[in-house]
Amino acid sequence: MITRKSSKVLVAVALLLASFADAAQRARTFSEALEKAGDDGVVAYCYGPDWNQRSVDLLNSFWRSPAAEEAAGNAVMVAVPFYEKDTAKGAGEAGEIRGNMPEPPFMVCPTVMFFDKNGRQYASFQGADYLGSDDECTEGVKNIAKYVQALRKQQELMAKAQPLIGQEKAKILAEVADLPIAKPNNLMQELELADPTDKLGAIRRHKFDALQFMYKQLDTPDGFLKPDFEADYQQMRKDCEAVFKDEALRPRDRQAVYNLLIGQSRREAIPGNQLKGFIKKVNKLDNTTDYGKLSPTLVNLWGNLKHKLTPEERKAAREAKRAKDKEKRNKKRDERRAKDTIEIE
Amino acid sequence: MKPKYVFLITLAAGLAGGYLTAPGLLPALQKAIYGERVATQKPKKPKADATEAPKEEPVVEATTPEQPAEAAGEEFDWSEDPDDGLDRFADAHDPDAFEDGEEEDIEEVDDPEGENITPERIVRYRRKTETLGEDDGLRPVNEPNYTGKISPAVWKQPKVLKRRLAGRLRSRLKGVSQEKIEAYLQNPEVRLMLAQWELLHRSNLEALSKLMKDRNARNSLAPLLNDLQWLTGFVYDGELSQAEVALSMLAHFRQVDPHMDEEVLKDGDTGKQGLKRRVAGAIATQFTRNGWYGEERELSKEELESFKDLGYIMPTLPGDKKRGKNKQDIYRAARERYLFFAESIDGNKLNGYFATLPTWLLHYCCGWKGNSPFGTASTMCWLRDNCAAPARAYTGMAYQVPYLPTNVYGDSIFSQWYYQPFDVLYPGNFAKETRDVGAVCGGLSHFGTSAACANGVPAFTMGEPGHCAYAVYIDGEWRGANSLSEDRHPHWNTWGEYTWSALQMQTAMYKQGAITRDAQMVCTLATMLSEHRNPVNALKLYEMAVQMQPLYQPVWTYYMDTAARSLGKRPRKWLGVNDFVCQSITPEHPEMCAKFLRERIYPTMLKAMRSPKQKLAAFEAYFKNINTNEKAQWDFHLLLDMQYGALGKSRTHKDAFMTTLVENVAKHPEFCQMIAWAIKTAHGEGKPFMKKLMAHIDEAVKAHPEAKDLLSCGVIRGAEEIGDVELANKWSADYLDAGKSMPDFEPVGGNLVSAGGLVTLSKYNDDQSSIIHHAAALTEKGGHIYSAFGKHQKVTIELPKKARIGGIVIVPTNGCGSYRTWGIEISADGKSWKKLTDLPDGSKEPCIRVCIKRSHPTAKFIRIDSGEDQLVGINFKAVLVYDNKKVK
Repeated sequence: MITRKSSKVLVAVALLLASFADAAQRARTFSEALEKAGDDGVVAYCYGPDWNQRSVDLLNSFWRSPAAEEAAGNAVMVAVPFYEKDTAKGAGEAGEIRGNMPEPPFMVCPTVMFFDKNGRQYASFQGADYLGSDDECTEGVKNIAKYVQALRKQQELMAKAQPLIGQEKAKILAEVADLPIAKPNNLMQELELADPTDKLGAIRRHKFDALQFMYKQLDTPDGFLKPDFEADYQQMRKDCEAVFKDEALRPRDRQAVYNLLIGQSRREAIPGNQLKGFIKKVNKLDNTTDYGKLSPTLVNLWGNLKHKLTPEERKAAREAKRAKDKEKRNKKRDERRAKDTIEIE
Repeated sequence: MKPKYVFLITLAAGLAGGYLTAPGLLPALQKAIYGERVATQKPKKPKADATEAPKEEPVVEATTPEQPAEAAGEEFDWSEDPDDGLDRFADAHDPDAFEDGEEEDIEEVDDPEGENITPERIVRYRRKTETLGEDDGLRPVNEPNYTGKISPAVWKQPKVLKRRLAGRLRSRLKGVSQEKIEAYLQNPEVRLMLAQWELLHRSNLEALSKLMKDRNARNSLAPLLNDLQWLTGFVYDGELSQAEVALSMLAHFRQVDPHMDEEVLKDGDTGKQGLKRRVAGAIATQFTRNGWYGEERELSKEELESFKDLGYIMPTLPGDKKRGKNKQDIYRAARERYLFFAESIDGNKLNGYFATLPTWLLHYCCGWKGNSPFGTASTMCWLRDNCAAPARAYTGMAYQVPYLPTNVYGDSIFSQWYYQPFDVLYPGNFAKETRDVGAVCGGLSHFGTSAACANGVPAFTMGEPGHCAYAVYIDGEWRGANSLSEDRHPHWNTWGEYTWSALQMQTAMYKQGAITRDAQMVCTLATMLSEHRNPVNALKLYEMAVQMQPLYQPVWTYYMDTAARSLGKRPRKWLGVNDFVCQSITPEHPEMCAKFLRERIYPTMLKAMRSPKQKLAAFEAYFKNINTNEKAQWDFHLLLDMQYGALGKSRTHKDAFMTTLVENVAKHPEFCQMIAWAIKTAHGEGKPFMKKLMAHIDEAVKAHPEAKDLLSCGVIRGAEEIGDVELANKWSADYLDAGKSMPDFEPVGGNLVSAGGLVTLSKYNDDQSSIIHHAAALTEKGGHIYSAFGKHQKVTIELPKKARIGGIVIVPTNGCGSYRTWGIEISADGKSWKKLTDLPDGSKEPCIRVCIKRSHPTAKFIRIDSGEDQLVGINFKAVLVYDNKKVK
């Protein structure tokens, strides 16, 4: 017979069990964590026991807090020490705890690293910018939840995509690629197979490199501008506009490309209104990115740049242009002559 | 005769004979004299400072319970010293009380070894150093925990205090023999007084007096100035210039942080005791020394008021005229830096390494560039919270910043536009801005350095040819980071010269912390005696100080200034000094020793020495003592030219010099560039002399076969510099088959005419080892030609004979991609050059083939220019020149 009192106990037990159903486990070593790991993988906290007191203090206030455990879901949590002198790597207790775990991208503490159940690192974050400055690391807790959920989503989508083919599969794979964590190893190859002509534009989106685009436009292999480089403004504008219009690309990449056009327009001293127009387009595309946020500043800085030439300056500019044209003509002539006599391969 | 006169006569006689060594006798005499002097002794000169001593307001005594009890007879209570006491003391030890040329009677040193510095003495001090043990430079000098008793009010008259300290120190000094000095320095009170005297010696006393007349300032400074551990670190562990300005800054720090002496300590965390004080001292010293201001801006009314209230002296520093009223900004920048470290210490936010740092290393991380946007408190705060790493990891921290010479707007890093648009997103946080926007070598290295310093790990940026790198102090040594070359020049240093060698020497000196501190104190004592007209004992003490710590650069300057007169024209004595310098500095620090010999010893010594034999012996001492494997990447030719020039016209002695040089370089072939110098010099002396030199080199190679490669590099470089094709080819013969893998390329026609030619470079690379492969690089087997980095580096090929050029093949070591604005010139005489062609920009090919189809120019010299790029030099596997004739 269930009394009122026992029913209360049963409810409490049920609630407790329910809470355990989605609670992170702890492991002493990274290897043990991988063994225990389920779909939520492993979340590792890197700290410096003998050199970074802050990361040691956060072990209790943040890493062992219920909030962090809740955020980690069913992931196995492991705290990994990194000592000042790393001579004992692979040996001793610290070596045992770390096992095969890779070092953080930059050996900064505290760092939180995320691994799937196969030991593949899919995310990491470090420093106060991502952990927050408070002792409970509110920001860090949010980020743990964000990445663990992204992994779940990734797995869910990959499972969903498994039986599909063609565009349907490509759509889901594209969604996977857009998640804020490392892509599964063969994702891009699978995407190329599913959408060989890139109808969705996802391949283009993930392969586009704004920096390389800029280097190509500026005719530089390494980013150092050639002293006598002169951009073909009209061609550059055409190329930038084309990229900017490509909605398959990420807004930030499109903005980056348009930034090059803005910079070149300033260098070419095009009318202020036109420049302002370019800047506003960047802002309109996405005002939450850094480039979008910069727009008002750029309008102030560059949108009103005016330089009226004095008669002397105008004369000097004319003469300089004439001399430059002459030099170009001579250069072409020399090159033509040289071509007749010297062949370079 | 009245008793007081008996005492006075006894005192004079006792001092003269050096008999006043019985404990308590001298203080008893002093007591008797001070007690009755006012009525009897006439001052020799009016004492303006003493008579001006105002009546003192009540002051808080700054003493600690640990203060050791002193013998009653030796007690001198500064705090209870009435005004007339100042007078009495000043008179009793007034320097002006001694007539010119007359010396105070302190016992002469009992020196069985004579006046000369002897190698045996070095051994004695070395032994002492060894027993104390050299460490990783992280062990602070173990000064006793002692607190002095000078009341704050006494500092109001620094001139008087300085004189009183001198008198007190001299009265305690029983002799200048080593044993007596060692015993003297055992007394913590003496050590404190020496440090206080040194502080006053380095201050503008009038300005200091002005500062100390502010009651708040002197009350907050007095505990520091009575703290032996803190004061010795402040005075001796960095270059303290304008001490009064640094003190005014310290007083300001103590006002903004009343808890400076109260570190938040956890259980067993005693290492941090006094840390904030030491940090404050390091910041004040470096900011004052460098004249660093914060960001230039108008001060707010409140700030101006607060500065006015403090009544601090305003320093005169570089740039004052330009900056006008913003002088006070120096306090703001330094205060922000101090508060950053104070908060970080209290919050336990720095690397654990920081609390173990001795004061000299604190100067590096706390005093790091106050004038850099990477040095602002907000930037350092961000770096502390986001780039906390173990010390070893800071050598790689720079690579968080992407290397981007052009920003997203297409603006070059060398233009004003590069960071301008982004400033608004990162107010006051240049480190984060750099990490997000990008930078080139300078930004990367500053980021790495600032990240290290902000976390309490010493670091600094440094220049390398065409590059900016940085160094981090890890495990007892400075480790290069983001570094491309060993030719390094620190951008700043906590004291002395901004050279890598000077830094290494200072580091070695501070690692022997205890002995260095004693030597510094002996040096202070010597300076004090020198000021009080006791040059004989001052000289002996300077000599003792250099023997104790020969790596302490400033003491050499004082010693040589004092010694020059007494050494006069006595060559043997000079030889002794020369040998001592060479034995104590040359082994590990040949560059610093060479500089010191050139600047401080040779100018006087060489005048004193007439016999070339003696000169040769002196020069040999330098070479014999070299004991380092580091390459000679400094201006050694200045030393060699000076030495060689001093031998006059005697060929015999010059030949002997060359023999010594070659023999010693063979033992340390890293100095092979000296062989190139020898060849160039011998070339000017004529063929017979050159022949003899080459015979010496042959012998040296036989005696040291292991040094053959590097000696050959020296010879070939010398031959290249004098244009001796035959000599270069003779010494290259063994290296023609270097086995470099050459790419396949289509022949350009004609016969190879470059083989057997001569390579010369506009600037040679530090890595000399490639020189032996120059000749092979002119053959189809391939070799290596490697110049320094920088714009327009040139390699010139002198063909064995004139030829009509049919084609040229250039094989860069790492492909042609790095070369963007390179080209070829030709010349018939090596003087007038004609451009042959520009070469393609950034080609992806492994080699470049230039085929000349029609008008084949005649040339004997071919020159290749690496172009505009700073970070590119000549790095070729081969340069092959073909004629236009049919292939034989």
